Amino acid sequence: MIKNLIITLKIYRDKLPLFLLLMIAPLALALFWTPWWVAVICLLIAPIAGALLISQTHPQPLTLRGSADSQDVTNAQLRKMRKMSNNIQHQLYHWSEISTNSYASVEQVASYVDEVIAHSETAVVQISNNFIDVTRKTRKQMEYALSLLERIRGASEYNQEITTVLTQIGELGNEIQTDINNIIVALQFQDMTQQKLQQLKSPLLTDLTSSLQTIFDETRVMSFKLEGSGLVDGQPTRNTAIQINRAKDQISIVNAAPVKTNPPVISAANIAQSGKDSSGGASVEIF
Amino acid sequence: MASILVVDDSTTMRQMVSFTLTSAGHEVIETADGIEAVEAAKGKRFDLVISDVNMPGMNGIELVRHLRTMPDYKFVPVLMLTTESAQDIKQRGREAGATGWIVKPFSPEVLLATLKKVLD
Repeated sequence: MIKNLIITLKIYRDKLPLFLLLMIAPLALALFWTPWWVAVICLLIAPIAGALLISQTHPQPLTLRGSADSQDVTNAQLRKMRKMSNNIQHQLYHWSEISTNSYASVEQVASYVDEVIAHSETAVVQISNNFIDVTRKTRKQMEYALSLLERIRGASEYNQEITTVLTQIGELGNEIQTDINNIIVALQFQDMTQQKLQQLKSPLLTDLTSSLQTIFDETRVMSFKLEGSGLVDGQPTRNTAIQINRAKDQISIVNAAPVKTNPPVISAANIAQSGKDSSGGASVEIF
Repeated sequence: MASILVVDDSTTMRQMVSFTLTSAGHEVIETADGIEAVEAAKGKRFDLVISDVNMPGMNGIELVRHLRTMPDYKFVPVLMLTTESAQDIKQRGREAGATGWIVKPFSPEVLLATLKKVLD
């Protein structure tokens, strides 16, 4: 916690006087309510706490020129370079934070996609069950009516009227069949939408998550390297490299080669597994 | 009337294909992926197989390839019913041994007409 506080203070070191003011303000108020000896002790402690805060967060004084530093570079230039490096490091911390937040958001989106897929599938399966049920009953109803009319047609004095009704039923049957066919086509769009959502989730969201993780890792690595280079404040870690242990979610500094984070690889098999392209091509083809 | 094996990981799709085929008088068995389909094919010889391409476990192309190694299914028509319409994937299907390719969404008339054509 203290380490995080120090990192935060380092990021906002430009606003250090404001932090000091915020720390001293409660103390100044408390002076009116506390016994005189408590106030004296606090007044003695306050400068020590302030000094500690400044020593921990404020840029350390420039060290003397390193042996590797070119003599052509003046002290003023070195100071300027360090200041720029500090700004870059702040920016890296900022990016690292943003990528972490975005990573969490993308994971949330992926979980919403799963929920949408599950809900839509449940709903459409229910609809299609009802549709099949209704269609079967309608078909049966129609068959009964037709067979009944056919049976009484020959023996009835309303032969002409029955023939007309039979024709009408036949036409209605054709219309119902067309509607059924249209519904069958329409119900398939749920499956196609589901596949598009699956495609959105994997590989798109998975790749996005992976990219954000890479940005996070690389900004942290760059930040550590920058700190190790001696161009910014902090513990010098020259000649070291950073290894990221994702399983344990920690960064360790070791004597190893710099970490290479490869972009996610999308293989042809992967595309075939998850991609559902619907562009071009005839709808039916017999080989 | 033919006995048909329908393979699709989507419940809705299976229902729609099955409904269309049973309404036309065919006998239908449904399976949700290639592995289940192979098991079903081992237990019974179907007159026709209709399969999706993108499925978990064993995909449609792998299923066709596997069916073609089975003596009973060397010449049984296999139709691919899928959203995929890219030529390279169709080509892979053709090379694996698929008989035809129908792009979703299918219309019942088209499906039945194609069926008739490959069964004849």
